Amino acid sequence: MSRREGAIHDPACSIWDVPADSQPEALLAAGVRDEDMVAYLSAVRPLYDALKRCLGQMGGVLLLLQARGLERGRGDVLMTSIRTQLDEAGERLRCFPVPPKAGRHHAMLTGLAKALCEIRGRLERTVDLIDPSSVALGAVVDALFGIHRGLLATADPGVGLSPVDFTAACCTCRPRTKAHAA
Amino acid sequence: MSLYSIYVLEYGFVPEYHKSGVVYGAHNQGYVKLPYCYAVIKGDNWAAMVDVGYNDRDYGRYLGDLFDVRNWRPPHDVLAEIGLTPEDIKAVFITHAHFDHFGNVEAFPNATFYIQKKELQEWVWAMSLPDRMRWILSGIDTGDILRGVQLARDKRLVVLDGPMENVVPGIDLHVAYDSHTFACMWVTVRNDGQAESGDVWVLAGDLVYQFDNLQGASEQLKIDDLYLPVGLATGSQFNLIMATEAMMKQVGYEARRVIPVHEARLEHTFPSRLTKHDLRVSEICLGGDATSAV
Ligand SMILES: [Zn+2]
Repeated sequence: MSRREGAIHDPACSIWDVPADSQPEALLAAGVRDEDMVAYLSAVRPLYDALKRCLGQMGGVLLLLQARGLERGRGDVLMTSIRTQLDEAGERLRCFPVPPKAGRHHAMLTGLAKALCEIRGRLERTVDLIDPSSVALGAVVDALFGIHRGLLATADPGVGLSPVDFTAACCTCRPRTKAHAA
Repeated sequence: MSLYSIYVLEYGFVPEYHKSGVVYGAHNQGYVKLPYCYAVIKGDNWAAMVDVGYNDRDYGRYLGDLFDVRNWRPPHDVLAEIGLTPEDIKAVFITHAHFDHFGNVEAFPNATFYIQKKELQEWVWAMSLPDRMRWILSGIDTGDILRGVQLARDKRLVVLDGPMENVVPGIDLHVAYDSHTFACMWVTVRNDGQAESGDVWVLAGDLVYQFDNLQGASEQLKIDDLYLPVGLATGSQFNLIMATEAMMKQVGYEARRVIPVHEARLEHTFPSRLTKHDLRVSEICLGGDATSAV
């Protein structure tokens, strides 16, 4: 199938330029010229997404607890997945070179990963988090919002670090006119 | 006499959106305007919304830059066009958890929010999947999940397990499982309040984006009146078509009574006007002795 016939988006559509995968080629196409930064961004994108997903799952555990929608098995699966994803992200955050320009960015993500680990430990004991008015629940929710602000601060959707993946979302499609103007 | 007035209020738009995003498989068929809207159901001293849009603060700039979303206005400005404030909204029916429908709950301090349990459960589960499967999470904002926890703490979140009749008198919530999303709702207004109503309106959420999804034309099939699924299904096109049939059946197959909220051509079917921000107010019907807002 030719690209023209096979593409959902028009081949000229600039959606193809949005580096959702943060592959080096996509980052170069997006205008990132510094090779060290290309390598850094490429390595950090999946970790950024993992932190985002862990945050969502922890919020989800609390939400489903409140809504009486967290069955025992489901909760266990989520807690295991959070642990695995966080351990892996924490490990991999230490395993690639960080160019000086990205020093603060990397330090912040490392801090967010650590904060998520602490809350995960707290979530292992959920008994006192079920009561909507519990002080403990308030503290955990505040901490999660803090991490969310950190993820917004470290976001850069232009290079694939996005608080929301808009690339295939309903009602979001990059119009051709913009790309041509750019 | 009709119980409610119904409005579709535009809060932003994309001037040129790929037709293939609106209609599944409509490759290389150009661009259409795509408005972002929410619906308002207004009764005597009571008002509800179907979805709440998104908050420009967190990522509005990116949406503007990357996707050319224009003229975003906050609910305060948009609702003022029909004489309401966000504080007047008492109930919000969240059709699904995409950012442009569930993304601005903080703006409505007095509302109780209704959402399907399965919609929440499945998104949270999808976040446990590996990075290579992240397509599933398109359009989901983890921030919205956190704001949902806050709503639950405030006892302003009603998590439903399936459809619900008369959530308020004359208004029913229905669910299309594994369609556009895991548990996507549509809202049916029986505007005469009768169980067997002769005055039904369906607010379709994202189960239908535009008229083409209800009365589409297929060049390949040489048919010009068929259901065509929307461009995005986390579930299946099959379930979208089945939901469309269920909605159409409720309105006695009178297509104009199924209201799509991403449709720029509502003005051809309903009285409407443009605001000073170039956003459209469409008046779907007027209740009781309400006066027109357009
Ligand atoms: Zn949607």
